[in-house]
Amino acid sequence: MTTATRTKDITPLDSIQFEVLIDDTPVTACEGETVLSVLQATNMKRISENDRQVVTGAYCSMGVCHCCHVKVNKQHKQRACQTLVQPNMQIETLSNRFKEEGLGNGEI
Amino acid sequence: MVKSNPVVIVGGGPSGTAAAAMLGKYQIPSIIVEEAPKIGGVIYRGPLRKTASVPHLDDNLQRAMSALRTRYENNRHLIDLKLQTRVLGPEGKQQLLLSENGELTTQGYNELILATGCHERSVPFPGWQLPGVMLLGGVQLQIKSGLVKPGAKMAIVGTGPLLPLVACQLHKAGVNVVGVFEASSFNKLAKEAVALLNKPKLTLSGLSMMGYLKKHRIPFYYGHGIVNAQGSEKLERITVAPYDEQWQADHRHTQTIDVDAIGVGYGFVARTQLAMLLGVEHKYTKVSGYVPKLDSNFLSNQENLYVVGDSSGLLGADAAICEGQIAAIDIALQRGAVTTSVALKEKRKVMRKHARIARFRFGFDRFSERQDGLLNLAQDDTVVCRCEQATKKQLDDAIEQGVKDLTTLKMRTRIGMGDCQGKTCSSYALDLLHKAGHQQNSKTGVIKPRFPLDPIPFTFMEEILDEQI
Amino acid sequence: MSKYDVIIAGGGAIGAACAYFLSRDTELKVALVDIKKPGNASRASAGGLWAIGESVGLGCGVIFFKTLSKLQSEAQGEEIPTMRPHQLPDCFFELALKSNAMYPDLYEELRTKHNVDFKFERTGLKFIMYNRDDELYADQIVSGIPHLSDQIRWLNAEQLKAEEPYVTPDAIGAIDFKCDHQVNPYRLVEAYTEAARQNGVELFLHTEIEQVIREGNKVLGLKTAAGELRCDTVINATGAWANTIFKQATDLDMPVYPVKGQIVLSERMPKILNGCISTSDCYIAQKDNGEVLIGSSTEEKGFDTTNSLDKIQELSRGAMKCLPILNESNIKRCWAGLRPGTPDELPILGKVPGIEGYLNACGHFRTGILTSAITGKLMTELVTGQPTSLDLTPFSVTRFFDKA
Repeated sequence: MTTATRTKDITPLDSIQFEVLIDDTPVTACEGETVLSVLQATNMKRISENDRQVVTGAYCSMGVCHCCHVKVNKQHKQRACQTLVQPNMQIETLSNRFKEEGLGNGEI
Repeated sequence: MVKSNPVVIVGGGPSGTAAAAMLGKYQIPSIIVEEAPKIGGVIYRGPLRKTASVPHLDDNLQRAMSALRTRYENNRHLIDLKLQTRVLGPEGKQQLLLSENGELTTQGYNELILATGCHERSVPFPGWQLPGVMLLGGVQLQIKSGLVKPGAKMAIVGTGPLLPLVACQLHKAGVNVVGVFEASSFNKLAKEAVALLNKPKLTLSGLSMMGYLKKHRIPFYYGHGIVNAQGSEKLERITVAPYDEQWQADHRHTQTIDVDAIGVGYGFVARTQLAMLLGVEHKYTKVSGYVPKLDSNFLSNQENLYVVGDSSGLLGADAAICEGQIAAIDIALQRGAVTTSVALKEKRKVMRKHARIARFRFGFDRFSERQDGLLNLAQDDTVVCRCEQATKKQLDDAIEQGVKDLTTLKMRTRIGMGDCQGKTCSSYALDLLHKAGHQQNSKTGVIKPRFPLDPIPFTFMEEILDEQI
Repeated sequence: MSKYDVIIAGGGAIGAACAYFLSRDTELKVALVDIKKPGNASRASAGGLWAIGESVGLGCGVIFFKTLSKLQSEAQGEEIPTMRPHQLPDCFFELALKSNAMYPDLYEELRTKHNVDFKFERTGLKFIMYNRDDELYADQIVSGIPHLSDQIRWLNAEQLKAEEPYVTPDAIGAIDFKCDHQVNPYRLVEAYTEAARQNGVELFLHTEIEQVIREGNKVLGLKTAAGELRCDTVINATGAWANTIFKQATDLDMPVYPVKGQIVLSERMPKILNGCISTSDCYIAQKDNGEVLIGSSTEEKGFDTTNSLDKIQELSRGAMKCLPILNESNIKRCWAGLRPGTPDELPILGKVPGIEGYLNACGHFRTGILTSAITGKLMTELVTGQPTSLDLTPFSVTRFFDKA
């Protein structure tokens, strides 16, 4: 599988690097980074689909707006801007329990 | 023994670290609770990953970041730094419930300093939810802390000194900045020149920022602002227009510009949820929203509870440092760690500095004072509350039916009932209520913060804290 | 100085209902004076219309009074006396059921004539049984209400699983109260208020009541922050704060006091519950927005409305036990409300002997949302001198004076 390319880094990746998976595609990530910076480094803008099925991207980058929710290691609604990357982390964008797993017996 | 029990400081930004350092000067230990992985606050946190250099960040910034770290390092033997730790809310008297790296703990205190900073004011306009539309501070965090370019072709819209600063930083980082749109007119800026002269170093830096933009042919428009954002799945274009003195957009003279990201900065709001939850009395200010009522030592109506930095009112990082120091001096005095005369001398020195900074700041505040025209950008179907997707029309209808306060507005339209607890939408909704002529007080004009201040997994409730055994 | 026929003190579920019914059924000039105090019960409520459930001591009751099985697990082997279900008297059943029956029509009426929607939902209320002791408890409940047996269904484990797939498979069954449904409580209050406003009721919102205006034993009106308002009748619907107005009107005290209840609310979830749920640990209702609401505690802490970790934990754990999917969900928000409690758990309604121009509409404890409709109707009947829909004697404040 080809690794997704990071095209938006401002400075070279100097620190300890490892792989994370973004939507099943391996991407290089650096120790200390947030999930959001890795997503943005690959030029990904459409990050989250919220509980009302609206697709959003990074907005405040500081954990206040809840617009950058991703699924991390099977846990829903993790703020990408507040989550630090770990080796082999599984990140899923545009993920929402309302779409997945056929939950419930109908839309509310 | 009171002397040895640490002062608890929530927030490791400029004011929080300054307070810890000043306490350290008088041998008083402190605990800093900081939600990020590094100290410095949004402004001085700097790169989160290791990097050899940050050529896109100017010298002033790098000096300030370094000074903050030094302040901490010089006192680290007295500072217990808890990074990636959030306050969920109060738990009992003089105690906070914390989430420390995903584990619940409690932290008792005798004195508490809240240094929780600010967040940006959101202004809804058609298309503001498109991926690629970001808050100015969000853009800054990405280039300063994330070390990533938020876009390839960007515009900056808003008001105030951050606009040219971010434009320069973006350009230095390799982004094509196609325009900067300042809402206020140049004439208005000229009027504030007297205040700006108060802090000559900063103004010069302002001028040199404008010089940089000119040199690199980055157009800077006064009296202009955003009208809407467009794109099918993400941001592709924005429409800008001249703004009159009330920031009302002139729809006859619009310009559409291709961009893939923008930074929007129309002001800030003090982050006061924790202070409110702790029962601190607040008052309304146009610039910062609701801020705590404090005495000259930044002490609130709650016993031994101080609020400093931008969370006490937006005055920027330099003022925040002074405020942290003033609160710390007062605590040192109360604890008998310093004589009254020395404390007074220290305090006066810092307060003079604070006053100078404030005067300068007020110049910019007057220049950037929010005008009602912004409220008209949103159309009937423009979403105001992103969490609940409540639209402007729903708010307008409720106000027309006689709703006069924010909580009832929340009950009618669901604004503020989402995950962000109203941080993103409530300032705009409050402005709408004010525009309709409904003055508020600190009870009716806020969406009451609730425990937990951030959503927490149900599984946290299975944990048994030490005190519960 | 303004003159009205009726002034309603308090604009929560009870006061707003009174305003609506008065404005719907009479030509009287009505004013409503309201200020929202921290913990006001209407906005804190879960919104259950649990007529039978609350009457037989489920909902809040069973959590507070506890089932035998819960006591056993807590006592860890020590002897415990037999717990009987805590059933309220027949007069309460009548009040609750009569009110309950009004909601379907009320819902349609408010929606079609006034364009307000309080999200009435037919859910039923299921008491989930985890073990044989819970089953015995349920048995006792059912045998205490033979006249209502057609409103109760027994579900075995399989049936429960089919109807409520997200309830833990460890449950052995449930009893379902078929007529116990739910509404959105704050929307109900807003609906009554807006409909009343459309009907011409004058609203004095965000307005503090300073003093009851009296001449001897005749109540003449209210002195408020918006000025003096005079009237023929004052209705006291001030919730947990009702004794203040009562005292000013009568120089006596009535036993209405705040009973704190904490609530845990989840983030928005897809539909995981068909019915409302009652267990020995908590009650659970999924509201119209998808959030799962879990309640509640019963605490006497004065007017304190802070959340405490111990209660939040208890409620959360109880809910996670019943709905394991919550293990993968977030708590979005917690709060606390102040129920207007009374010693016998019955509301305080109607005239006070010897006092003119004053009516009680207080002490609704755990069931204010449910009994708001009947209270509105009863107050309207009292004001217009009609015979009341039910006998108000058991609800009179004098029942407390006899003891004195």
